[in-house]
Amino acid sequence: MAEIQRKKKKNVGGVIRDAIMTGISYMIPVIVGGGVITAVAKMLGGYNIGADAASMETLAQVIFTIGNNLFAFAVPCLSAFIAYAIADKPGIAPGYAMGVLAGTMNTGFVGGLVGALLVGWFVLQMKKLNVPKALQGVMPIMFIPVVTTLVCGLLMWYIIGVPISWFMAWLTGLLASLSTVSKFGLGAVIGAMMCFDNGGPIGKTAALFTNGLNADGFFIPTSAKMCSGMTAPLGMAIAILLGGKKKFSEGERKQAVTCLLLSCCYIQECVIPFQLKDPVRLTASIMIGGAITGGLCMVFGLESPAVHGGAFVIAMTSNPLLYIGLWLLGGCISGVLYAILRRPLPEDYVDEDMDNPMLG
Amino acid sequence: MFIVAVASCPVGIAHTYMAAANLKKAAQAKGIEIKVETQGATGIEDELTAEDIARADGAIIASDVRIKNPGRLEPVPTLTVGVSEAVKDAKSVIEELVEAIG
Repeated sequence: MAEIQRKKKKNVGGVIRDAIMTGISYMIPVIVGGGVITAVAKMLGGYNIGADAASMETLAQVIFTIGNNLFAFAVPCLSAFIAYAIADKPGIAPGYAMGVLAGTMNTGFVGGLVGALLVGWFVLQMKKLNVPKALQGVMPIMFIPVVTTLVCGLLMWYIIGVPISWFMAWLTGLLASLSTVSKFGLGAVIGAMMCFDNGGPIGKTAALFTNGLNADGFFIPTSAKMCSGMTAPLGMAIAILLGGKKKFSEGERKQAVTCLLLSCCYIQECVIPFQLKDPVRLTASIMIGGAITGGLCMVFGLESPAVHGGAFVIAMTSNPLLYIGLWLLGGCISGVLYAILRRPLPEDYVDEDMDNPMLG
Repeated sequence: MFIVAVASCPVGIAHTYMAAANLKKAAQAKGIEIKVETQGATGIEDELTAEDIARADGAIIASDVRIKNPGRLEPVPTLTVGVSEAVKDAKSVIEELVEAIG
């Protein structure tokens, strides 16, 4: 590609970050589909349906198994597409292998992620090998999948995976034994990060962490993430309502309904145009609301098996009313704070064309 | 001048389309013809055709993920940026490309 060199080039960290984001983008439909379907089964057949679902006698058990089968692909899918992002098509098969191996080793999403990066790098090295022309055709279909999977698999099992499985056991124990204060702290950090850039890299990092835990069966941080994320656009709508004509222009006030609707869909990006115009005051307000909601979600142990879906998956959380209450609470805090902090419009304010593509 | 662009982001429901909309707006403001392909959660939309790429003077990839079929843009001078750069400041992205291709 005739690449235009930029002043600041993408470094190795940037390449790895893009690869992980690619993996996540392919994993999201898997955990949403699997999570929501198993949650439906839990609603039909009781919260402990997972224990005896294998007998497949009732409809709920069948539904649970269908959803759970999809959910089992979460980490393999993440690994496969991280490896794909680095090394293109030949990365996919060994990537899947690393993801499944991570499940066997109980190293969860961290194991899958590290394995996938290893596989991606290894395949890239193999592609650079100078092989005789006669063998070139069989490289991608024969040597790359066999050698990469075997070498990386053995490396993961005997060397690299060992400290990761210790780390995961430590993290699992830690999450199970957190004190109330540390629970609130963790949830507040997740919530504040979610609202900091509304779908940007900081929020995505928090989402990566909670989604990874979700793929490993910890559903409480997921509610902290989603519920706090939903407070930002709700807060924006409330701020517009309270601020009224004095503080918001005609074009901005039209956005209130959009923000409200998108809050229900757990889409935060509608806040960004406002955030760009008034970064400090708005970001501070919504981070406070998000942090309180996130912290309380953790303290109350609110579980959300679905990582995405907003208001449509509230019924599947462990306590829907509490979820709605915390969502409104965070939104009101953010909204009231920002309505107070926001400066009134200047007298001669000309309404900018505020095109929000989220409307279309 | 005619430029092509590909926009994509991890979730593929918001940033992708905001980047696409802002790139279009910024290009139109400069009187530059642009076509933007989006690779969102639903897959590829407004796909760039072979003719589009053949007559393009430059290309922009605005993405935080690995885009599909990057090889197509091989013959075109391509500027790669993060998707949020195009959302926040599409004007500078277009200007940077225009400056680079002259």
